[in-house]
Amino acid sequence: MTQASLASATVIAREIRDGHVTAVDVVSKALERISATDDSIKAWETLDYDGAIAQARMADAALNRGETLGPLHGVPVGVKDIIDTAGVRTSMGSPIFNDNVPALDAAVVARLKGAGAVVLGKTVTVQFAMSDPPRTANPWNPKHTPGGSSSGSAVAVASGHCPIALGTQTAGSVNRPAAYNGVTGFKPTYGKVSRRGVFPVSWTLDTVGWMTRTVTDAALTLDVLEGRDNADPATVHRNGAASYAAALAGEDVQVPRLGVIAGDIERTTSTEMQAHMFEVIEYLRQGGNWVEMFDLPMSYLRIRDAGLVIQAVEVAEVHRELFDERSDDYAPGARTRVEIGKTLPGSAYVQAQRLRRQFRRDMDESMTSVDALIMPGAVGPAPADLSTTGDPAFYSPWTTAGLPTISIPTGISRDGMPLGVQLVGRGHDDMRLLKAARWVEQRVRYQPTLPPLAHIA
Amino acid sequence: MRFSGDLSDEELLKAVMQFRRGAVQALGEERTAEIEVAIAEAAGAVARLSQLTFSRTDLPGFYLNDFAESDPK
Repeated sequence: MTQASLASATVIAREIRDGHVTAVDVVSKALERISATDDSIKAWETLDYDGAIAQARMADAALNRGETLGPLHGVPVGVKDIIDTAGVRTSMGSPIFNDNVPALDAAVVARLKGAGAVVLGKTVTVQFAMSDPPRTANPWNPKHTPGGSSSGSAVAVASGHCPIALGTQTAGSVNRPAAYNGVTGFKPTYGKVSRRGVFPVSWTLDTVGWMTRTVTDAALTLDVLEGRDNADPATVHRNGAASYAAALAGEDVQVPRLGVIAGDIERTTSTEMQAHMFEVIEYLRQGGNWVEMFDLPMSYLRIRDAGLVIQAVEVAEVHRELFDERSDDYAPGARTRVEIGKTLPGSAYVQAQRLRRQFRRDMDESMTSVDALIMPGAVGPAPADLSTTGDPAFYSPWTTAGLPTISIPTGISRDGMPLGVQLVGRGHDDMRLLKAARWVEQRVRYQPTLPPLAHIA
Repeated sequence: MRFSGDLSDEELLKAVMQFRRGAVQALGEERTAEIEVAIAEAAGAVARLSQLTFSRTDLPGFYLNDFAESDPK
């Protein structure tokens, strides 16, 4: 039996719809759990107690009238603090925006609320979603980094505060903290989800993603958030009406063809993570003859360089005016990144953009024989180093190519830190990726538990 | 796209020094000295990217298209 605080959004929404529990009960318990544990965890930047209870009351009132607000009716959620929330402080993790209270919800927040979700508040982000260490603790061991930049969102979900929390990814800011904290982290294909109302890091790389407790919850959230938004020209129209979550329901998810990425990835993976990955692969093999080795295209060799250059140049432009006025208020890592971006030549930026498109084309062509790629969820368990948010190397190639990715927890290290795998999907075929991820989740049958710092005495 | 192989240590050092000169102009010597590691990383990335050769006529317009506009369905 899953611990109540680790119940999925799918289960919570069903329990509320069926009248077994009220939204006010669910939200009150979530807020109590946060109050009891967040002094040591520090996953939350701002909590909206009154607003959350008011939203929960509205959800209960709607149900009493026989109305269901949507698939997330009454489900408590967290929102990364670079994503606008109407009437609730949104600080970007920066003193410059300490008193910033947006008038409007970001598109993703409006969609969550429209689907019945209750926004508890804002989760801690690394300053401007870049690379400076957060104040958030890894609830598995506070001597280890929680990862970033969506640190608070990953920790909030891991700690049983809420079953869904929004993050954003420019290199590895969803998948990496998800891996370090033992939760599911999903980044859809670039262009699936609107970024209106999200403070940018890099316009051509940023993607809204989310942490959940299950793959089905990740799919359910995509059902709610996907869609064209004229205010974000990068978004595309939804591909048909099929529900991602409904496609994963039941026990008969088809055995996927998975490509194992080796080579460069294998060489940089820690020994313990490699051994775990080998175990997972061997275990999955028992599910059918589905696995093949996957050779990455030549364009992969320079794709991290392209990601670095694109991000730095766009960061410098995003922050140009603000940085000129307030550079002393920037954290060291953010400041360095802006400055590096200012010094990069235009020719490098163009070359980087050309390479990413070449890499995306190469991946589209080479992935036709597999449903998804599988690789370790991170270089190793979360490092015992609080001066870093960890290595983005396992995520930036896919983010730079705009490909969908999902991290799934699959075990615990000798030191008690989460281990997991990452799956990479074909561009704009998030359904195929989610089905493959659900299959892996079902096969591995890893049952997440509450981390030590999230236990209430 | 053609790829002309790995950078030699000498080429990498030359690239870092060249990039560093630009950084000193933009940021000053003191600040540049404080961020040497980031400068070396960025210089390496620029140098490695410059080893790629794309055909001028390869997929005209492809590079300027909206990056998301590739949904095949």
